[in-house]
Amino acid sequence: MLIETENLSYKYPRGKDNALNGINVTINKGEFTAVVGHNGSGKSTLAKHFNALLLPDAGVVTVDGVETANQGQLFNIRTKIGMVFQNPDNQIVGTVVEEDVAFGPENLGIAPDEIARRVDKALATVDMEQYRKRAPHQLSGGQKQRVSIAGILAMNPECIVLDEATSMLDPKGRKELLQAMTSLNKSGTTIVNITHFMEEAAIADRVIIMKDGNILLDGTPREVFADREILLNAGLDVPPVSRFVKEIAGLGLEINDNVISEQECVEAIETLLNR
Amino acid sequence: MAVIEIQNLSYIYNPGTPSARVALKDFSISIEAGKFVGIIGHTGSGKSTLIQHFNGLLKPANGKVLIDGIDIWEDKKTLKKLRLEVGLVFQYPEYQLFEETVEKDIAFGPLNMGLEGEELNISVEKAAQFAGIDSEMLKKSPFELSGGQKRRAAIAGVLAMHPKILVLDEPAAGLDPVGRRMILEQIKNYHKEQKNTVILVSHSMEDIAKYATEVLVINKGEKLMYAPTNDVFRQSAKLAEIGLALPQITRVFHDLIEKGYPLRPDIYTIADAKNEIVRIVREKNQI
Repeated sequence: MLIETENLSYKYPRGKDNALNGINVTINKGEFTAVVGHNGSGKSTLAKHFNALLLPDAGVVTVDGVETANQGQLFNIRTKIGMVFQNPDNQIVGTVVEEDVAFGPENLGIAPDEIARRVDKALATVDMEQYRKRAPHQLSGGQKQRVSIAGILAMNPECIVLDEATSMLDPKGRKELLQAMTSLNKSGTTIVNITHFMEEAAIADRVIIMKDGNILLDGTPREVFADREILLNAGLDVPPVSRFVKEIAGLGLEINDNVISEQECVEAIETLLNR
Repeated sequence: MAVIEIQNLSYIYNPGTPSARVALKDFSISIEAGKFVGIIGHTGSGKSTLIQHFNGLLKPANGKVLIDGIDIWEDKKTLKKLRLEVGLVFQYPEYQLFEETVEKDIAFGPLNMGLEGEELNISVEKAAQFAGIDSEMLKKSPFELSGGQKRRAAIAGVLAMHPKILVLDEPAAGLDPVGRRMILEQIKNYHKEQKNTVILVSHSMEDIAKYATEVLVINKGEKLMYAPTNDVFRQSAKLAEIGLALPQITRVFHDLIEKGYPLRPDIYTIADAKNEIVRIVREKNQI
């Protein structure tokens, strides 16, 4: 396992209630996990505990067996777990793309030729090589977010946590970023994607659903999207295609009512029409 | 009659410098009063630049902006008056809340318009009601509210000025699905009751399909289409060409049509999709 929380509780200094109520969750190496939940459900708070941006009020968070509360290991933990945030304009420090990507490894004291190698590789991974000499403000939102990911990749992380990183992007930018997440995961990077888009959650291997500082459901997309009522009660919904087949099934028509992707929806309708 | 008329509008950022960029070129559109217009297009397509011309936040390099038939740049006095008729809700408007209480924040706009006493109270109350802000929330500090509540409070502040034209830039961005639906339903009800003109900028084709009566598609600073929602979504190839994704259910239907199923291509909402499947199953059972 990579990240483990044990009875993790946290309350913001000015908050009325706990933002997290005794969370127990394990993120394994190589997993692609989506975390969804209503506004204020605690999903971003949980993510910020994964790389010691926040420390537990009660309970323990460990990264690769090391407690995040261990100040001496902070550097190590943040190198292992990188974060990409919501606003593409708030996380780029360099004036040229390749300088921005080099910022992380430079701070780790890595030798210049190794930095150059890592920058090349990171930009290639997110398909941004042709923009390496550009100024970040000339890029689209999706491109900026991919540069942010490259900056983390250059530090050779174990895991990337994306905190609503697609929410300010247009459909094309979202698609690009999701493709980058999927291909990174295939090459072994652990991905945690915090999102409001249920279609995004559907492409993960595992979905964690949060409600009021607790984990409500934890399973494969198919498992968690099986019961729409539970999701609606948690301020969420199932992806449009899942909703559609459930409504068709509700009319008494015989259709596979547990689909989570467009492809599966097409197949379910075909089966219904060929019956 | 056209409530907004844009004639041959061009706008350039940083004109005369090496970083000059044409954001809108020779753009013309005429929007009839009472419509619910959805605006779609990529980031950087010129959507935000266009809506900032509606109330004179940006001055055209070329061309004219007419509100209710009056050129807003004709003289300074008209500009001030017309600005009050066009309520603009920016992205993440909750960052602009600043008063001690939600009530005072909502009252800020109408107060500056010269409303007072009972008239002011009624206008604040009504706006709060439309936005789903209850009387308990009105007394709170805006900073005690949740993200979705803050967003609605900020929108209420614009509604309280009774804008003839309400322009919203991604009002549901960053909200969970229930918060998202709540805000959009409230805007829909407001539009239905007030019969004003609503302009909604959104990346969600699902939301545009569900709420807008007309759709304006902008690409690279130019008007690609402006037509009733059905007519625009029917041009799926054109939309896909400029990288705009159709609603998920529409993509499913287009896949099925390609496989030879005799389904209607103009399906954009779950409700329509359901009816279409029911129709075809019935037809099949009769044969």
